[in-house]
Amino acid sequence: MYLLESVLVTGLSLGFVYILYSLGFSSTFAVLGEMNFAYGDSLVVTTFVALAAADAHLPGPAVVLIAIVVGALTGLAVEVFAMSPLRGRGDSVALIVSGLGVALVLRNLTMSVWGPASVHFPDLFAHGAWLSLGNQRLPVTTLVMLMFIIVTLGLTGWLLARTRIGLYVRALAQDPLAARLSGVPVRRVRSLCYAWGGALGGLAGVLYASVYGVLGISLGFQATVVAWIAVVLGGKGNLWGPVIGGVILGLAQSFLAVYVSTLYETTFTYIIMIGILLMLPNGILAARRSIRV
Amino acid sequence: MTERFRLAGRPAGRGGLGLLAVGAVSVTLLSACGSPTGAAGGDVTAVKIAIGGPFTGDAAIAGQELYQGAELAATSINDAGGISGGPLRSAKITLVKYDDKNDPQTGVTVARQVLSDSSILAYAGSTISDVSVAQAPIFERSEMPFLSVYASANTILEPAKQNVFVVPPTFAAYSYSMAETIAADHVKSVGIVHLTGTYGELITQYLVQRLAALHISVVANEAFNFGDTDLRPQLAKVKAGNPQALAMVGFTDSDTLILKQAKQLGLAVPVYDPGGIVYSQAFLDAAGSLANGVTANTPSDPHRATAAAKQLVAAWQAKYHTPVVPDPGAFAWEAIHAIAAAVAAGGVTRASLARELHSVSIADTGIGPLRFDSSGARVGGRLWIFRIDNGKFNFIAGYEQQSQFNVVRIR
Repeated sequence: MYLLESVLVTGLSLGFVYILYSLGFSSTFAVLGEMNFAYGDSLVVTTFVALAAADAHLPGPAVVLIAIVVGALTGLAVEVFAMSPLRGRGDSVALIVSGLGVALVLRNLTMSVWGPASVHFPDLFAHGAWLSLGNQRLPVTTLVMLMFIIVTLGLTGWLLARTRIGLYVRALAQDPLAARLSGVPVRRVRSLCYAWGGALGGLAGVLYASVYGVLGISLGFQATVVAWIAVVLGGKGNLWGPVIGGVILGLAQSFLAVYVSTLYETTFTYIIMIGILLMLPNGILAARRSIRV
Repeated sequence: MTERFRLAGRPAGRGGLGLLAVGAVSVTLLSACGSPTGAAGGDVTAVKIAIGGPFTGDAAIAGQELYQGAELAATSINDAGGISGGPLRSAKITLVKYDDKNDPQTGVTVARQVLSDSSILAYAGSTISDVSVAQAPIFERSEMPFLSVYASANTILEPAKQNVFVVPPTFAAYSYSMAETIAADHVKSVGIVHLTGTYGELITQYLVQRLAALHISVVANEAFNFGDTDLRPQLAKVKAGNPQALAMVGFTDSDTLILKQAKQLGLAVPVYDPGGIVYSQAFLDAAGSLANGVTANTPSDPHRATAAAKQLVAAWQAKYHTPVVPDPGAFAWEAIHAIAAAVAAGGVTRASLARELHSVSIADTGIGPLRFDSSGARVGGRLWIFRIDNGKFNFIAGYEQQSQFNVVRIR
């Protein structure tokens, strides 16, 4: 029983991290159909900037705000300097390669500024405190993470459903040409999607580092891959897709680590993912009526 | 895994006469290489040594410490007048840095790059045994001395080699000394969380062997991969076994995560590190108060009051402003001193340097006496057991490696 409880607690908290990664990634992947491979490394740069703010003894909420703002600016810069100039001048591969190039530049920049080694990251919210749930202990910061997920989902849903900009985003996601002909400011909406994705990435990075207490360069690639898989698994045209995908990935990894093998959890997780996609090629929520994000 | 890496050392002669001929020419050319800078005609001014390690990536802390130790030794020797004797008397030591990224494939590439530079006399480096195991056959064939500075798997020296030397005590010595310590603490059951790869698996294998011999049960033995950040599933399985102690076999980053996540899970048992990882300021900084209570081992004895020990500690503190000489740095310091002594004894080419290293005997490097047996293993290496208390290393016991697979308590 203890192990099963552990699977649920650790799997869900891992799933929360994956949800945050994938919410930011899906802002460009689901709406624009563009895979921003610079996403993870932008997230790492942003989190290192946030760490500098934390080291300057700024309060936790201020550090989170800085991460969100810096993340948005980084996402915007990726769009303006690496993506926008390429659209309409080549196929989608050019955007992927450009994103990879930016990722490598950011990675080397991060290494040259903050060094190559992983560093300790403070718990910004609870100073390592936890809640006891029977035999299990849940870090308070994990609950803070859940709160941010709920707020982010609510805000995103409200923006999409109730605002003009949300209408533009949905129009662009459904048919870019029709959106342009209808007067949607496509360039600005694209920039907004990258900025929004970057902001959520910054938030994800800070919360991840607060929970695990460590920040390293390798987080960037991991975040991009996990986010991509979670969005595809959950269904990329649905606000709840990243949530479902993230939770399934987290629970699957935790379950396989405990009951199969810690060595092959990743392998088996992705085998299961392939199996799900073979049955549901457009993701788990593809058949449901969706709000595109 | 060991066998896989040995493929890099493909035996000569399997490709027929043509390959044999190419091999013979290569060996001849390589034999002609490896002279100190300036040896061809002019005055010898430098003994060039390649230093390898992970200078980028997650293990960069160990690589940085290793290079700092090598740099400190080179500076110390050069400031004292350079090489102390032989044909290269007064030549200065220069270091060239190679990043092996803690990756065996990169390590092989680095080894080949080093061999192609005829001005490099020896190679010292490596912080993980996967890399050393991959590099050892290449250096062995080329006759360039290879000193494995921080990696010390017994498999580095298998099969028997002439040009490969392991500076620290072997893995078996590390694990056996910790198993004896666990037994001395009257622990009856242990859970283990260990890194995959040669380092984690061999340290764990020797630990499990000796614990079994001491009638201590291992209730869980869980592995994780390099770079993993969520180790709670492994720790949950350990906790479910209700052990009296936890043994962690990782690097600084992962050991810190293990302590943090064990606390999160409520796994409140004494923690042991059999791999000699946590004896560093970097670990104390990263783990903070979680480090308190951890029992571990190190070949460095901070209470040594010999002149050489004082010189090492003072030089380290003056240059790097940290109180503790970390193990990678200490071993790199020893490796450079061993090479300098062998050069002074007449080892002026790669081949003759390797021969001289087998005869080197330094009474006190600052860590202790240093000499190698015919297999390239260190003789008489010591491991000191300490427990961290209020951020301080409190030393409680000492063991001496009498052979690759035997330790005895000396303190």
